[in-house]
Amino acid sequence: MAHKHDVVIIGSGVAGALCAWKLSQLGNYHILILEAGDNAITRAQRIIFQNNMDAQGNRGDMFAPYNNLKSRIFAPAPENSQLELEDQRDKPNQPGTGKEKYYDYADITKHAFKAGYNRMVGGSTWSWRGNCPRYLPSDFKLKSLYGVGRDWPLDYNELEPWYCDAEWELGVSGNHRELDGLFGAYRSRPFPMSGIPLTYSDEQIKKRIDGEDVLGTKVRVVTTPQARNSAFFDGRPACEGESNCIPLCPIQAKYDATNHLRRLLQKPQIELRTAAVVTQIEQRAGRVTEVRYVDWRANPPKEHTVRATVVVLAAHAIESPKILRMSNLANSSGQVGKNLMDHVQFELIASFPESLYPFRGPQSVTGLEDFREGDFRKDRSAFRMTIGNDGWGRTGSPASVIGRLLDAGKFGSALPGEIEDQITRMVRLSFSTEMLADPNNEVDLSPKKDALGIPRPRFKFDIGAYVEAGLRRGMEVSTELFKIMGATIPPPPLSKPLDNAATKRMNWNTAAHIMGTCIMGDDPKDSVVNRWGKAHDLENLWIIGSSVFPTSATSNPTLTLAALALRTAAAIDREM
Amino acid sequence: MDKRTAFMELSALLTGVYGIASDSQNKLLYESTADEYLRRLMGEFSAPLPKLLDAYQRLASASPKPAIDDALLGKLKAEPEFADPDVVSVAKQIVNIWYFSQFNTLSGTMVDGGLYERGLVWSLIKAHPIGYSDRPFGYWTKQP
Repeated sequence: MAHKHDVVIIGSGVAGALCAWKLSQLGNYHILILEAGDNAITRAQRIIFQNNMDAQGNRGDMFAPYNNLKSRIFAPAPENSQLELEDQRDKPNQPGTGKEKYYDYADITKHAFKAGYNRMVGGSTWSWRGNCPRYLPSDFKLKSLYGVGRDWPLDYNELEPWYCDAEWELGVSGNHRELDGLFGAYRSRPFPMSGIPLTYSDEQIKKRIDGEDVLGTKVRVVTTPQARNSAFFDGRPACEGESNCIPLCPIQAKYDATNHLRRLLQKPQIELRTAAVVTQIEQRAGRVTEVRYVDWRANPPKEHTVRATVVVLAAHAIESPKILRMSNLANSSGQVGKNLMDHVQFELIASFPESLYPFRGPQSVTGLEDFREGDFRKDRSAFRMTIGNDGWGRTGSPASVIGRLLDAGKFGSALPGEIEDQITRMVRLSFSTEMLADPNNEVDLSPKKDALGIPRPRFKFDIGAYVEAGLRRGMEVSTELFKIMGATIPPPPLSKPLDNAATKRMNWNTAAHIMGTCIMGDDPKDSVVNRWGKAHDLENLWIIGSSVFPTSATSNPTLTLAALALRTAAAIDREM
Repeated sequence: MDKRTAFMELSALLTGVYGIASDSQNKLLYESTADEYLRRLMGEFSAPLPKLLDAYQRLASASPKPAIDDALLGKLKAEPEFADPDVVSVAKQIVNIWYFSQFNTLSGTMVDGGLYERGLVWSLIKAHPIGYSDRPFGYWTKQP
């Protein structure tokens, strides 16, 4: 009989790593972490990743440093997910090359599901921006306050101490006074570090818009709380302003899950097994008993089985419901894979009246929190805005300037001045809207298979009228803000219009914040896990990560999922 | 005039960064950069690049040697070779590779120039190459 582990955690991203870390603090548990990816978590690995992205065009692409990984063949990532639906559908598949398109779509889908994730040791935190705002108290009560979406089975008060713990685990820098009490979101402890200082660019923008009335809302430029060191903290250096947060912090001043994984692996009772793609969780009499995985490093790939007292599913909001559906598990509510959400994002670009000198410092330091709450949430989505320090962000790289100048026939002495002038005045405002949990937005199993013969995820997705109205408002607000700044919005195609006449859809982007699909609730008939993260249907299966969120709110999800992962770990410990 | 010198002068003329051909302090750096860029561009533009270099060398061999400036650039653009769209393409990509260490092939695919950190754009916009900060925490608060 195979050795029985106390806890098997599926996934080594931030949720899995924090849950394992907390459990290792609470008891002498034998923990096995199974991870589909197979990269190292060393400094050398970071340098290799950095060397993979030296061409300009790849910067800002969350996959660029990682797409040479061998794991991409056996644990593919959705590298084409940001393309429009038609382009994703029409792109030829190249199985076994690591370049195959991973997402599949139901015939009736209205939109592409553009959000992607990295299946690797340390998960998507390698390539996240690091923003760590908390949810607002109202974000937990959307249904009872505004009659839309759902309520959480817990409230802000219950999560607040865990937010504090999560801020210390991730190393969040922020200014307590700016954020304490934001729409009722009190803070019982200060941040572990003071906020990242504003960039020169932020200061110039703040001078022009701070305190202004923008279409009826008074705005305040505040430092975004971010898991980015403003001092030496937790063995990692202070930020050097590489302006490269996405797709990789070269010096790990930005938190990623490898931080906790390195610490965990110094303990003999913790094991990380990589290149292990989970295919099945077995159950018997209301308890999960075994986890099956394929080791793709073996040739041919070999199936293994491990036994566990407790299983924790932490494979993010696409792979987690896939594993449950493949195992026909935890789905008496029929909600597994449903209520899929993202933060639907858009950005408006402009040229500031004077040089801002972007690309010096983090990609974004400040934002506007003022549009996250209000009675309007009955009718349309709220949004969080960020002020970019990365030029025109995803709309146009600095290198895109040269193409336009050359096409205009400019060579010679005019070029240096033009390039300097155009790039140093680039600015962007982006806004991320909240989606409502809707069972019609769903990920299920495609009949099409990946290289290991595992079903690919298949989507049915529509951002819906609530989000579309929020995006329109975001556009109006951004336009007004640029007007107040005296900035010039370039005409299309340089700036992207919201409405796309060709596709008859909006030109939205993804924030790659995947949520929903295993949502939390008190009623087993319409939710997958209970308030502690335990599956309603099983005694010993727990789910962590943003898949359990009943509302997307407007906050970047990592801090909230980190708080929940720590809280779930404590609940597991109580039941052991 | 050797090929490297011709390429460096042509690059200075097209990019407007005349130091590529005249900065004695950074001569070795510019020479090694030019060698690498010439090699990479020749791989893609094996016919139009020599044509453009020939056209430039014809102009530059005049006596006295003409200064590298916009007047010379105007003469180069008036040469018959410049009527060839592939020659115009390679002229654009010479500019692209010096500023951003990247270039587009004739079919439009973007290719790495191999010397990302040496892109001329960075000093121009007063930033470090993205991902290669050599500056301490908080440098970004000040106007450069």
